[in-house]
Amino acid sequence: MSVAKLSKKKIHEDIKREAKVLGIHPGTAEIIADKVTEKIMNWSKKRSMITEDDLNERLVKELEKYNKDLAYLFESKGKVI
Amino acid sequence: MDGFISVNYVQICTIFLAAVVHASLQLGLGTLLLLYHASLGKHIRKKTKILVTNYIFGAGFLIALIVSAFAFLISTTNRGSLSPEMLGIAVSIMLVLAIIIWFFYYKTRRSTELWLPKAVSRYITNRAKLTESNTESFALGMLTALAEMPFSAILMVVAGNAILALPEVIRIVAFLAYVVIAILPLFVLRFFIRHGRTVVDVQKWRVKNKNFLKIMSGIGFMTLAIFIIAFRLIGE
Repeated sequence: MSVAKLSKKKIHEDIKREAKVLGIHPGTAEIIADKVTEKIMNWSKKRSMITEDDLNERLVKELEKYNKDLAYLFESKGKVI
Repeated sequence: MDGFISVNYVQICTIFLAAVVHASLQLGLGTLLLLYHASLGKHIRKKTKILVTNYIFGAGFLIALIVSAFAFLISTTNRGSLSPEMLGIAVSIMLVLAIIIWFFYYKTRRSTELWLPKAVSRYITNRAKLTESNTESFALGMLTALAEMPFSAILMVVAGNAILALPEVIRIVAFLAYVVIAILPLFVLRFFIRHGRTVVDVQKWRVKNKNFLKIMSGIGFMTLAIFIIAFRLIGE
């Protein structure tokens, strides 16, 4: 269990990159990334320490509201092989 | 003529069965999916297509190399074919592998995480993420073919032995058939991704069907073992 280094830019870029994998329109990906990143940053302010698993879980939860496949990509990280 | 056909039939069936069981193993497919995932997020589709092609050729190349190496080893050290005792050991290994596949091939119930040590799977995952050039993707294909060896080595030994028993005319065809069948799932994945499926669709399919695939792999190993017992050990 490792502590996550929160970076707004990194989360934003990660979401956009995964959206590109699924062929989501860049404009739509930008909107989803903006909204989800903002929610994650707000959520993180209430916590003193966040692990990678916590962050990923929260990302999946927020992304599910916009695109289930995008959320699944984050959910299956490190679980393919 | 009947004896000629029946002997070749046994060898050809052995090679075909071994290749099908090899094709049912999941590491190569999983890594290709990771490569697709990483590459589609970074590169244009054409580059991804080329990287994937190189990956598949890398896997096929190493499988071809290992099968021919085993065939050469058998021909030089065992007077052209494995002795009944060696075949018996091979059969035992296959039966053990069938049980291992059924119970230990996948780590968890909810994902397709494989038996690999965490460090190895992390290394392969990182290599797939960092693959940028054709050489790297070719090497990644070779790496995954190598990493699958604990399960595929015995299949390649048995296939190499069966290839040696064939007439020279059809040896090369049988050899190429083994390699092509073993990497066929990679071509199938490539086909589906190119024709509209996403990596999510494929991964969900793998998770949904992993028990079926696991059972079929185990049955494949057992079928091959029983086939060798029936036609090579008892039959001869």
